[in-house]
Amino acid sequence: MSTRRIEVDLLTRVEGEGALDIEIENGGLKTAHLRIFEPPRFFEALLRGRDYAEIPDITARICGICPIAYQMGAVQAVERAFGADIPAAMRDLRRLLYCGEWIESHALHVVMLHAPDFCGLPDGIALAREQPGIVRAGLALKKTGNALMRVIGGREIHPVNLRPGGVFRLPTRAELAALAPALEEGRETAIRLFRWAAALPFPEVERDYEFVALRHGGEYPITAGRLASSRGLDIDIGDFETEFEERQVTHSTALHALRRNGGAYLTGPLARYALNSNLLPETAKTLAEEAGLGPVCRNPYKSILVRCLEMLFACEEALRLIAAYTPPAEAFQPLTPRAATGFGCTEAPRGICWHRYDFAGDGSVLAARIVAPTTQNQPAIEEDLVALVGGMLAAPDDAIRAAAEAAIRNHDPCISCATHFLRLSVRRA
Amino acid sequence: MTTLILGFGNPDRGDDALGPIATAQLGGAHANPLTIDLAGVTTLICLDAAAPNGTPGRIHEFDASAAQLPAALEAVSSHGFGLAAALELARALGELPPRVLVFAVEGVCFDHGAPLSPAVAAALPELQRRVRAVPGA
Repeated sequence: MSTRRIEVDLLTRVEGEGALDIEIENGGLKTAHLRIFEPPRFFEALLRGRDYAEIPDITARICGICPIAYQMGAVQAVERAFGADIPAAMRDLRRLLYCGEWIESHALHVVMLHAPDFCGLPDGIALAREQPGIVRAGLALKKTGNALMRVIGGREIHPVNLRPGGVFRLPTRAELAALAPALEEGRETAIRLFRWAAALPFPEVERDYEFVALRHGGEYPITAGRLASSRGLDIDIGDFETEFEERQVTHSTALHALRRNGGAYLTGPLARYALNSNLLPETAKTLAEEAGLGPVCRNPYKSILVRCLEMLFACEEALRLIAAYTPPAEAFQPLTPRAATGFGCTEAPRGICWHRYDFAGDGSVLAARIVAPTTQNQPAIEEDLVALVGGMLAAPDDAIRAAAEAAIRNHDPCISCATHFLRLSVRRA
Repeated sequence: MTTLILGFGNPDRGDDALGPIATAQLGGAHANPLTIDLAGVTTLICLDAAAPNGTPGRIHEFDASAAQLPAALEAVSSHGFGLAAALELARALGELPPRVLVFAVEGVCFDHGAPLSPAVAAALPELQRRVRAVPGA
């Protein structure tokens, strides 16, 4: 018997720290594990006993790239538990803030983390030496997304303005209007990045994912909608636990989320696109058609294209929301706590971010449950790895290592959010 | 000629506060390396704490306009994208100011809530003297 073990001790260009273990026994692939070893951070336990008003400032700290996802799910859950009806104008302002998070997060991944894989380069700095115009474009988009976060959220990283019932401070029309020129330029930059990315060499891969995303029907989903899948699921977000479960696995400090039937599923840009591409603006649809992308894309490498389309969408959506902005009458509405359970679910850049909180009568948190996008994507990522490595077993370890890391980066895993992630080790026997 | 003095570090973690404290004393800014605007800057002075290497309070000076910071300062995950990576990205894009000096002071204690260690606190006057001696600072 011979065992070949290939390890990546520390994955590069991912958000956080994880490793990869591949074991090949007698010429066949035995295991491919995405091993998340960041220590768990116990956010759900930290929240117990805290007042409902404190939740968004605690959950924001889960992620520096996508803090809005963790704040928005929380405030939605509080509002649903306490029976608050959030006016459309406030909902639009929050959607505008979230556009900023999509733009800054996607820009970072597309240019600094993902693009180097298609150019045979080790990192974003090497890409900046070879293609400075592309990296400048990505960084300019990131700056624009950050500006939205700062103006509406109070600061770029871990914003402070969201609160249950509304926001602490309403931005003025003039403050938002001042962002429009950068967003107009951002729209052109996103188109340029898409066309550049569309010419990259993509592996011919089609994966049979079950896509899970929010579906709203009237708009490309960000902050609202029902939970839908490409295999017919269509439920209220409050029914998540009846259809999905989290399992502890020995090789990861992050839980693995699966469908109740045990199946892996994929959330994130490819899933949102598959279930909602008809709701993208005409500019994005035309670009997709130009690149032959189709209404559903099952090639995980082409997620870079979908992220570019979503940046284009987010710039256009932000411009639309800014043009229509009339400050809501009140920055927030007072809430009356009650013993209840609330649910929140939004589309973080990496996919659905689901929250559940049980509240006591005084509004303190009895129990909290937060299911991050990377928690949900780990099983699908491992299935991608099995398919990839199974097809290249005779290749040298270094080739397997590089290909596997790239396959993981397709999904922009946020390890720190999920730890509750990569080094690669390949064992050959 | 525009000089920008930036301090890096967590003000609540012992000697990591060296950057923010020294910068405040010199009238500079506490920096987030992800959001620095270097447009128009001709001299960039970075103040940071360095990992322990046997001599707490020792001041290391690097001319980053001439060469990359030591490889030991490189990160792997995007979460560790720090000063060395930010400077290399600016260099690759041709946006590095003509003069970039990095002063790094060896720390010894990086505990949560701890004050500056005596050796690092004692190095502050010498650090200020050296920064002020930089033309334009």
